[in-house]
Amino acid sequence: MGKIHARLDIKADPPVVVNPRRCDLCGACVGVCPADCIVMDERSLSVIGSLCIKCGFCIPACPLGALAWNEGDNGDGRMTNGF
Amino acid sequence: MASERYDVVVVGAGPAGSMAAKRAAEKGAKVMLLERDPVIGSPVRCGEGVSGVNLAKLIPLQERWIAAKVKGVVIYAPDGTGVTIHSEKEIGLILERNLFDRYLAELAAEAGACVLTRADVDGIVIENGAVKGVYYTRLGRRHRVEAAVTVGADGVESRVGRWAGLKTQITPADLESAYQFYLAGVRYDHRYCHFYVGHEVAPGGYIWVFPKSETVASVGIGVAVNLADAGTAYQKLTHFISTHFPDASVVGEMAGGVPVARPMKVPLTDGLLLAGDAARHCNPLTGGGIFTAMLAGSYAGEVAADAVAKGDVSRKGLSAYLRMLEEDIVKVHLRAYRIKEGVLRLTDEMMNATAREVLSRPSSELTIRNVFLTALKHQPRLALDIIRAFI
Repeated sequence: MGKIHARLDIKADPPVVVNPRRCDLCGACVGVCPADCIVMDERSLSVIGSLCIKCGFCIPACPLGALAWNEGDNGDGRMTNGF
Repeated sequence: MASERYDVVVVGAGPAGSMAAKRAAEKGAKVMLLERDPVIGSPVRCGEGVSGVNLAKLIPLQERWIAAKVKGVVIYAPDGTGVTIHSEKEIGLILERNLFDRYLAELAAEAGACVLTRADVDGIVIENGAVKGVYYTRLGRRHRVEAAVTVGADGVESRVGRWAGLKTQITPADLESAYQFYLAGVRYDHRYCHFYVGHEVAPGGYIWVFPKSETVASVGIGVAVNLADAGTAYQKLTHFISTHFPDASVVGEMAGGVPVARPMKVPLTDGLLLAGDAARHCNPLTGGGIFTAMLAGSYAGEVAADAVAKGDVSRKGLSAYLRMLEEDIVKVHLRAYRIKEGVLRLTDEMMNATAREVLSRPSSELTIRNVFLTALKHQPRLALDIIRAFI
């Protein structure tokens, strides 16, 4: 299966983007992804754009809001309560 | 590519995986246990609460990985009304999962399993439709492990099952998006576990405050993904902390996903068993999964070793696993799932009324069972489930 993924085009522009500074690599998004398009190893998480079906399940699954639609305004780092 | 051969290969050294490896090795199988992270038990992604009575059925309890013992729970309705419930026969334990998980892996190693960290499983070996082992990458080098039986104990993000064609995806309604802080300088009653419920507090879930010491607590939240937006868990939790523990300091924080689903109907296929969060062996009402993961892992290890010894690792040869899970996990969790669905139908006002009503009764009637029976009295068909769930 690793072989199959290696052959896929990993688009530079997937529908969902990951903010690596906010991602804790917890795997919640992977568990809820019906397309198996989120790949995680010990250090990083990435979305395989060509497999993504744009269901958006991964976005609210992330406790920290590390995932967002590509056109979204993710990553301003602003949160409530001074945290 | 380097190739190795084992009877049983276990993916993931959490409670399910280590117990599977331990049990299979005890039964004489040649076992390999692979962990992706460099240190087993780290990072922690758990509230760390477990029933001491249950845990003692599986392993000897050790003080070094027990952070705290509690004598009951306090449940807070949305308006802040707290209901304190003492437990007579139960001892609630809050673990140090980093030490606990490593201890379990050490038990597996002592039983004879070969344990390896930094081993990132990135594929499975399939021959004639059956799972025959895994591929893993360690320090940039890819390895192949051939095994008669593979046990996928790779957590909520499990991919081993998917690669083998099992449907392991969780729906948004069946996943809790979770976040937790370790807070120091907390003023609270450390003799209890505290639970805060309500649609505003934690939509589709709850906030917990579990003691680690007299002044240190794990304060966490789970929210149902279908009721959340990006970052809801973090935002709701930090709001709670800023109002309840404004003077506390953060000494740790972690994210996670908690499967609160019905258990998988058939968590196996030819040459493969799934256990723990990977098979949704997590109580869908409480989100508690340590004990059931250990139990399922232990069963998986036993079935795997037996199947190897008998020379039949097909679905049929592994089907004893389903029978073992049925009574202890499947029935219990299906019941818990029905109660969860009932609880989700409660409005905040109904929860407030429940708290007031149970507090008006004699303290001898203050049991978890009665709290749920009162809360869900408008859904009488759940009564039997509640009685059986909280005997």
